[in-house]
Amino acid sequence: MALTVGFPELDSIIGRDQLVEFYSLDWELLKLFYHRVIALSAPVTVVVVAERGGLDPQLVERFQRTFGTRGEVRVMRGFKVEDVPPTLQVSEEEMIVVDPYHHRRKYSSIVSALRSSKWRKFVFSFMDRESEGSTFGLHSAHSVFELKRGIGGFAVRVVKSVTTGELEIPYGNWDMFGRGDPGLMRWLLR
Amino acid sequence: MEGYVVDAIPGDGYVTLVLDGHKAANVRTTFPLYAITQKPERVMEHPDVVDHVEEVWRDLDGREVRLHRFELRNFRAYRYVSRRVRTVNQLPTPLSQTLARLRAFPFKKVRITEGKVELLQEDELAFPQVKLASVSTVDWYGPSRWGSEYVAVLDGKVVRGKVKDLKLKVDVAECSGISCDKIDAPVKLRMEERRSPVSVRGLVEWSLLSRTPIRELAQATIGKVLTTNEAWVALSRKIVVWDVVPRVEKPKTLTQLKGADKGGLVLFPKVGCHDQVVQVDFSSMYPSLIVKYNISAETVDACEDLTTEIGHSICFRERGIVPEALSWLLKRREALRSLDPERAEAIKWILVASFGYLGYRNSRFGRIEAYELVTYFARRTLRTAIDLARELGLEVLHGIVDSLIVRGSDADQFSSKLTELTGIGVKTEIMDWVVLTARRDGLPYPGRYLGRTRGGMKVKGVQRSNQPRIVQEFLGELVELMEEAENCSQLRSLRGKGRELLSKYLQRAVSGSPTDYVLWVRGVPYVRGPMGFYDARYGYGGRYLPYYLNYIRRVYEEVFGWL
Repeated sequence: MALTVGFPELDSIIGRDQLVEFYSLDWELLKLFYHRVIALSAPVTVVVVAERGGLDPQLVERFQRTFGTRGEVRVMRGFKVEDVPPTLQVSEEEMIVVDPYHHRRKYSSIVSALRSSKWRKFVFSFMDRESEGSTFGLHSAHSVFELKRGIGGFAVRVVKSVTTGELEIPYGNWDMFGRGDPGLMRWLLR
Repeated sequence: MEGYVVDAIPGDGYVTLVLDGHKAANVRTTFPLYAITQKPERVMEHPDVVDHVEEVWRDLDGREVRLHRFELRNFRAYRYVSRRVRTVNQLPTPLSQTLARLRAFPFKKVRITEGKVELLQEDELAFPQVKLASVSTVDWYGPSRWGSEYVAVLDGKVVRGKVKDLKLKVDVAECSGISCDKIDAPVKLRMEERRSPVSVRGLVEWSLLSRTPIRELAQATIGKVLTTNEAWVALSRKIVVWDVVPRVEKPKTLTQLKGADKGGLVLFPKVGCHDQVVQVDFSSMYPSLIVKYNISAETVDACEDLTTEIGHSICFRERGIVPEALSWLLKRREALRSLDPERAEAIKWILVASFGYLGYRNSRFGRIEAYELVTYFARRTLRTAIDLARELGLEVLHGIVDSLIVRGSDADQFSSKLTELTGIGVKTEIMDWVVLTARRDGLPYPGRYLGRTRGGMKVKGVQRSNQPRIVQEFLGELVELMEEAENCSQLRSLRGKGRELLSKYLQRAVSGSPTDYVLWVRGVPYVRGPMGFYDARYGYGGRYLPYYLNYIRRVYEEVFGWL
C-alpha cells in the first residue's frame, strides 16, 4: 500500500508529494499519529532514530486491528547520528522516518540522505520546525504539517503545500482511531 | 635503574618513565599516529614529523584500508596533525602504544640501562610492589572535599587525623579536597573526578590489563578500559580502530523485533519463606556466552555457521575480537578470585559492562544484533536450566537472568549436569532459608530476596546506597537479627524482636544526630527538611520527622511484610 495518513483531506493535500514532513512538540500526539500512519501504510519500511524506544510494535498492531490492515512493517533503527544517513540510503522502497533530527546534529548529511533516494518518504520530527532548523530540509520537503493538541482533539496545520495555502484542520480524539463521529452536527446538518 | 612503571610523561623526542620510589628516567622514542590521507607528504612537512610508512590494514568487514603511520617527536605535533587529517587507531591511547613498543607496560617491572628498557619477567598475577594510598577528607555528613579531617587507607590500614597534620609519600594516591596538596606522589587521582566504581587498587588492575597509564584511566569510564582491551586485540590483527563506526541495522518485522528486543528471563518468585534451598548461579553468564558463541560485531551475520530463531546467525570461521578480549579477562578473574578479591571485583566490573557495551551506540566493536544474540542465548540457557531442574524433580522457586533458586534433594547433581549441558561454570550456594518478597500490591517482586547461606546473609534489593544513614543502619541490624534464625519457623518467631528493633529506630529517628538523616544521591549529601530536600553541605537545618519514620516503617514492611 502507498503511504497514507488515512485522513482523506490530508491525503488529497499531500497528493503524490515525495517528501512529506509532520512535526510537533507534543510527543504523545506525534507518536500516536505516526503509529497510525505506519499501520495504515503497511507494507512499509520504518526507520526509527532514537537512542531507545520510539516504536511500540503492540501499538502498531493495535492500529492494524482497528483499521483491518495486515501489511508487513519492516523496522530499521538508527541509534547514533552517524547511523542515520546510511540507514536512510539503504532502503529501496517507500519509507516512514521517525525523528531523523533526534540528535540535533549532522543536519546536512541527513537531509542529503533523505533527498538522495527516489522513494516517497513521510518524516515525523519531534521539534518545532519554525524555530529549530528551518533552514535545513524545509526547502526539500514538498509538504509540511504541524500537529497541535486541542481541546478534545488535535489539529493539523498545513505549513507548506504545493496545492493549498495555510489552513488548519481540526480532528477529534476518536478520529485518530478511525472512530470519529460528527456528533451533534449529524442532526444540525440534517 | 629497576622498578615498576607508575607513570609516563611524554616529552620532546623522549618519554619520562616514572618508577616506584619516585625514580624517573628518560627514554628516547617517537609517538605513532595512524592516518588516512592522500597527501602524506603534506603531513611530513611538519617539523616534528620524523618518519612515515604506508601500511595495509583491514576494517571489521575485512576490506583493505591503506594507512599511513607517522612517527612524531611530541604530542604537540600529534594534536596538530590529528586535527587536520583523518586519524584512526586512537585507542589504545598513543601513549599506551608508545609504551607497548618500548615494552614499558604500566605497573610492570622494568630495568632501564642507558636509555634502553628491559621488561623483567614476573608472575602474571602478582600485584606490583608500589605504595598506594586512598585519602578522603570528611565533614560531619561524610566524605567532603572541604573537610578538615581525613580518613586514609594505607596498605589496608585505616588512619584518621587532621588534614593539616597529613604528610604522606606514596607512588599512587587517590585523594580528595585539600588532602591532595599534602601528599607527595607522582600520580594523584582526584576522587571528585573519578567516574569508575573501583578503588585505587582496582584502577591499578585496570591499568595493568589495559596496558594504559593509570593517569589516563583516572577519569575514564569502564567502557574505556573494555574498549582498550578490545582495541589491543584489533591492533594485533591489524584491524583499524575507527573513532566512530556507522552501523546499518538489517530490517526486522514487528514479530522479529518483539522476539529479539528483549532482556534476560525473569520468573515471578513464589512469595514466602522457604527452607533448605539452593541458589545456582552461572558465573559471568553474559561474558561466557559471548565467548562460547563467538559473539562480536564482525562475526554476527557474517556466515551461517549457527542460525537462531531471532533471525541472526553467527560465524565461527574466525575468533571475534570481543570474545578474544573477554576470554582472557574471564580467566584472569577466575585466577584472582581467591588470590585478590578486590582486583577480581575490578575485572568483574569490566565483564559486567562488556555485554551492555555490545549494544551501546558508540561502541567500536559492538552491534545491536550481537547484543540481541546475547540476551537470546541467556534466555535459552536459563530455560534449559529450568527444564533440567524440573526433570530432576526440583522445585523452581525463583529465577533472575543468570540465577535460579531451587528446592529438592538432587541439587548437587543439578549443578554438575547443568555445567555439562550448558558449558558454563555454575556456582552453587546452599541456603538454610530464603525469603522471597512481594510488592505492596501483593504481586511478587523478583528483584528482592533475603537468604541465609553458610557464608552469612545474602540480601538483594533491600539495601541501597541512596537510603538515609539511619535506614541503612536499621536494615543492617535487621539483617543481623534475621541471621540468627536457622529455619523459617525460627525466623517467624523473631518478629517480636524485629518489632523491638523497629521501635528502637523509630525513637532514634526522633532524637537522632544530624548524620543519621543524611542520604547520598549522585555524590551529593541531602537531608529531608520540612520544606523538602536540601544540600547538607551548607549546614544542618533540621529534618522532617514523618519522612524518616515512614521510611523506617516501610523498609520494615518490605523485609518482614511476608510474615
